[in-house]
Amino acid sequence: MSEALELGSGTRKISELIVRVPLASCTLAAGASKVLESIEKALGKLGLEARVKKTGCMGLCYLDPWIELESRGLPPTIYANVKPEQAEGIIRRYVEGDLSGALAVRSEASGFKGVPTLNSLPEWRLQVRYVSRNCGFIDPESIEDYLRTGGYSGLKKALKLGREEVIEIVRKSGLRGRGGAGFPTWYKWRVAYEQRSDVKYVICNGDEGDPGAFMNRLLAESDPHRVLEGLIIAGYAIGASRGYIFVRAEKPLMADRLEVAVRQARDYGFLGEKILGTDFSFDVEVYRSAGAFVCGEETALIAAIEGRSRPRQRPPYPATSGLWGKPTVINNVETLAHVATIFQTGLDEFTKYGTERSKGTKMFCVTGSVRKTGVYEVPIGTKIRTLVYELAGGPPDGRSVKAVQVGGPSGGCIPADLLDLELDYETLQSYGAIMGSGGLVVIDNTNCMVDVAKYFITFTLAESCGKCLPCRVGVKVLGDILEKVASGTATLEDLELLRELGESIMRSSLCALGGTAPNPVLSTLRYFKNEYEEHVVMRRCPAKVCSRLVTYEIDPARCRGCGQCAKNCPVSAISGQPGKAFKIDTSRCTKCGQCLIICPFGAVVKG
Amino acid sequence: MVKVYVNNNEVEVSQDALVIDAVEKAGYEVPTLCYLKGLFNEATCRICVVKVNGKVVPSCRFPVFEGARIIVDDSELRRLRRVNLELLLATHEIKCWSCVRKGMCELLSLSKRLGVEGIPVCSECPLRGRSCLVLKGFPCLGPLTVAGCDAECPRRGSPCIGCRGYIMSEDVWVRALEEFYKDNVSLNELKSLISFFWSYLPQNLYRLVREVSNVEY
Amino acid sequence: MSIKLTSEVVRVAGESEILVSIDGERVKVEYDSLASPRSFESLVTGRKYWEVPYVVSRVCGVCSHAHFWASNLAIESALGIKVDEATSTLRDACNKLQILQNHVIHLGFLVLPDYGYSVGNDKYVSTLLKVNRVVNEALRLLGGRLTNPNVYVPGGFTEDLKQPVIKRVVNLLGSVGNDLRELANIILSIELPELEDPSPEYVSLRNSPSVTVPVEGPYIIDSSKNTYTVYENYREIFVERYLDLSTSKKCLMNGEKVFHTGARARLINYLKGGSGLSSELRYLIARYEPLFKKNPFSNIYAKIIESLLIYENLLQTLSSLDTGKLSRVRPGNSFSGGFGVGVVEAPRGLLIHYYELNPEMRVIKADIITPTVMFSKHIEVSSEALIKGLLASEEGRDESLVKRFVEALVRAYDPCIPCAVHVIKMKR
Repeated sequence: MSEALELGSGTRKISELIVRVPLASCTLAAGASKVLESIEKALGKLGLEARVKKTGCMGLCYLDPWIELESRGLPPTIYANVKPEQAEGIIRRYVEGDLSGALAVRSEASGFKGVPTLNSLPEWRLQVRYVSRNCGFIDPESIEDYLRTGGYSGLKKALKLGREEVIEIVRKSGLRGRGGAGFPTWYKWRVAYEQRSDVKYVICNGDEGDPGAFMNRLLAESDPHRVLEGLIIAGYAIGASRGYIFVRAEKPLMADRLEVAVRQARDYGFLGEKILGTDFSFDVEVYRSAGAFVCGEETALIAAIEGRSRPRQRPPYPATSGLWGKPTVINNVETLAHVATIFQTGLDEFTKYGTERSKGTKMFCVTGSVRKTGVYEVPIGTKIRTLVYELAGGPPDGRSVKAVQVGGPSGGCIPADLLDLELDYETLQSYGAIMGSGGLVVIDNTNCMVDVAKYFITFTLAESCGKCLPCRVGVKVLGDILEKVASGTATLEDLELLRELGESIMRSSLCALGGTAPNPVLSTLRYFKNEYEEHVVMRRCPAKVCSRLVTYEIDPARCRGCGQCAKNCPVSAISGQPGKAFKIDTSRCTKCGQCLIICPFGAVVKG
Repeated sequence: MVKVYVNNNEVEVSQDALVIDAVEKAGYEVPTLCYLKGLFNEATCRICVVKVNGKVVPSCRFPVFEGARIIVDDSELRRLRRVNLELLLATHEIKCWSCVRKGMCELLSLSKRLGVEGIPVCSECPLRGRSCLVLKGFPCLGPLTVAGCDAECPRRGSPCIGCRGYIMSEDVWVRALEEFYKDNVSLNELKSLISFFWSYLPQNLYRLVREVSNVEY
Repeated sequence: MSIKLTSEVVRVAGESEILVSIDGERVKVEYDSLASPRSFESLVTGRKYWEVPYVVSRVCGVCSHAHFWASNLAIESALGIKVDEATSTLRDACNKLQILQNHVIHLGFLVLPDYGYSVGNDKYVSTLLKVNRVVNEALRLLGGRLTNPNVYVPGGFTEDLKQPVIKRVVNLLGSVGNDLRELANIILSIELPELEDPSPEYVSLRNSPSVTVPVEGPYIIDSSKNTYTVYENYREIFVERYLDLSTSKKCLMNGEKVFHTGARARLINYLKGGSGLSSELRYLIARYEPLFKKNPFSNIYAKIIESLLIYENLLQTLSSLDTGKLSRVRPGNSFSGGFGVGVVEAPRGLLIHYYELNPEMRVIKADIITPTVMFSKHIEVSSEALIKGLLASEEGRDESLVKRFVEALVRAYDPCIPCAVHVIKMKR
């Protein structure tokens, strides 16, 4: 979908050159604003009349910052990892038809002047960009762009149907909540629809608290109207009059873009009184929260909006009694984007992907030890191996995959020998993990599984709201025991205690935060028991990560006596004479690892 | 009215009743801690857990529904309750000797009911202030002995000799030795009494005792 | 701590064994306690004086009050402390209550079955259990705990026992009067086997069981009405020896006489001068006195009569007791060491505790002689006489019958409840 090649859309003046600069949180963090500056300067310098379009991001983070150039007679061409000083050269070459240095061309035809098509790259080809179809190529702050891609056609179709029919379509689609639980979306809607109440609410859960998960943010920053359209359809289906989009304060750009989208939707009549001539009146507010992982949990989210801040024991479920006691439906950002797309493009387009029990696609965030970090949308049921190796490029040279953490702090680790498992709700659950919001962290052989478990428990502990006993105290005890394991002071009974306590916490916690917090511990214990036992019995960390169990030594054969290590040691633990091998005093060493990093001869080794 | 089954006994309750009401009506009792009927049922302590159709839920809050099958007690429920109580005691600063709830401690009654040890005899001893034996200078082992005997010896003026066994928690020992015994009782005499029934203290506690006095036992 | 099998070792309770060897006309009976040494005398060595009673009360669960009291007396004697009369009376009351309890349980569960009663017989068992329950409650009120008392220590009581408590004990006791009489009727109607006591020596505390231990020191008397002051010379009076190849010590009076101590001895030696006895009791004692002197089996009768006596006596003493102010005496600061002896009447007989304390008031030597040790030799000689008698008659042919007779005899002594059920091996 390129504007330059689009014909028959009216006699608008189309400029010669279009430069698309993705401005989303990720690209901005990679320096996109400086790139934008240098592009504007370059255009001025080259005297070119060009349209500079701000877009969202397509999600291939390892390419950030990237730009796309398009012009008459030339295909839209993507340049990756652009440095500000390269901007001028790229533009000059492009307008002359020289596409060297480009990553790919975004056209159907085969490679143009030796540059591959985007579709030929495995990281693109294997994706099914269902909800993320627009990300990176439209201006998220332009409702016109969205409309041109078929935007709000879904809402129009839905408003022509009765509410029950809308819910029935969602039921037939088999859409399950993409926020983590995988609950059938239609069911929540149905329950809320059946409640008799003067006021009902729909809430879009944009909390996305999992560390390392950012697909919701990407979607909302790149294609906010899609999310909004889904929300309005949901509001219509249950008979709500008001909707909220809950965004955490740590994602300001996401909140800004959504607010812009809301304003524009109002202007165009998609929100407000009597939408599109029907009796359906609905408005939306973007709510910025103070930021807490627990707010991802339905009842806590509601409580946050109400100002209370702690999860409530269910039942009653929000669909019967939620925000301010009224029937409330809460859906995830991605779920709502799916709703909009289903109504826009029809049921078959959705159901043709996925498995028997879980239809459709899912956006997965792959981070960690992979060459190509990014957000990939694939059909549910895709093998983990496909995502990790074929899409994300596998681990960097010299490393091997040890495990893949699926589902964030609530999920579990899948060991390397189970990578052929399918990514669907049931399979993952039976192997001790959860699909969660779709965050995958690839763990390699230089990581320690005990350390991984400790990391997640530390996170969950800090985020525990403190209301119920098992989570507030139990998770802390889990953390304490893991600390003992990592320092070599634990016993085998402690490992058994970890398991027993973990299971008890899961069974008796008040909300899903506590109910899933022990997952990383239990799954690492299940699949990597040997590693735990080595910590306990041999007091050794096989991955050489746990600092108390690791010693730093200088190999006298390699040491040239340059003294760099001693100069940089923060606790002056290294001593020696120039020219002779230096020595580390292990009793003073704090295992910070500086010496290993600094040494030009690789003489510092971990033992 | 709805019909529910509590431990396979059929009982009829009103539609808006809670599981705990049904349990009580059927004649059973569920241990509770944070629950105050009519005032507080936020299900924070997780002690009142029961199983409804196989699912573990807090009975103080879960509503009844037609045909619900409620199990009040089984080994898993007992374990969950016990673990939660142990977690609570782990963060509870045990100082029964100077606690305002001394003699009427609900944590203690719950511990006795669930079979959890860790609260000392002081918690059930009615002596306080000037009538406390330690404060009178006697080497009473109440602060270090497992409760359960209703403090029948100190109650009659006779110092506790620890026949029920020692408290395992090192924190309690440290606190008792440094904050309570230190200025009131001859630590050598205390040590002699400790060597009575507890000559096989675990390493960490033994070391503590050795430190506070200079007499070998 | 090394355990040495010397005369420092006490053995009481546990299982015992009777070895009977019959060789033609010669009968030899060995009474053997199978319990492993419990080293109480070593356990208290090195301990402070106030810890000792707590240890030794655990010698026995059913006569813990007797050991506790004897221990208190011995320590007080060593430290030179004298307690007031009310304290003595209360301690004596506790001991008597336990004697009552022991007798009733022993007779009900261990003796009656020997004479055709079955424990499954509802009637007397429920009476028995009621009496037991009442006495438990009384002991708890007076002594602080059912077993292993805690309320009285060397020097006095740890708390002021108030009048209402005493009154309640009196009421409790009063409620079982009829039950005791009922039991007495049953027991006294048992037909006892005939046996002539081969060594009719009976030793008990003078003025027992109705009067508390006099302040001037314990006196014991024997059947010849000789009185002995029991002090450091107790070892000359009660000589413990290892006789035969048995692991328990046997005791001989003055080194030579085999004697009996216990209910029977107490009633025989009881001078009729006891005041306040009901005429009924006076009649009973007078009537059975000759039998007591003659037949070891009559210990059974003696026990139930003593129970009635205790019952009456306690009611009297406690009803007129004014606890007023129980004083508590502490040991003085200038103690240069010393020793003391405590003698009490335990349910089964005389009990002696002896301790030697160093100037720090720690025990450096301890000695405990229990009633079972005292009369175990008497069991042997009585059993020999019984068997000889049986062999001379029809019944002697039936080995199992002989066994039963011997067992019944041993049980009549009540050599400490766990011991009463034992194994007999016969060698011909």
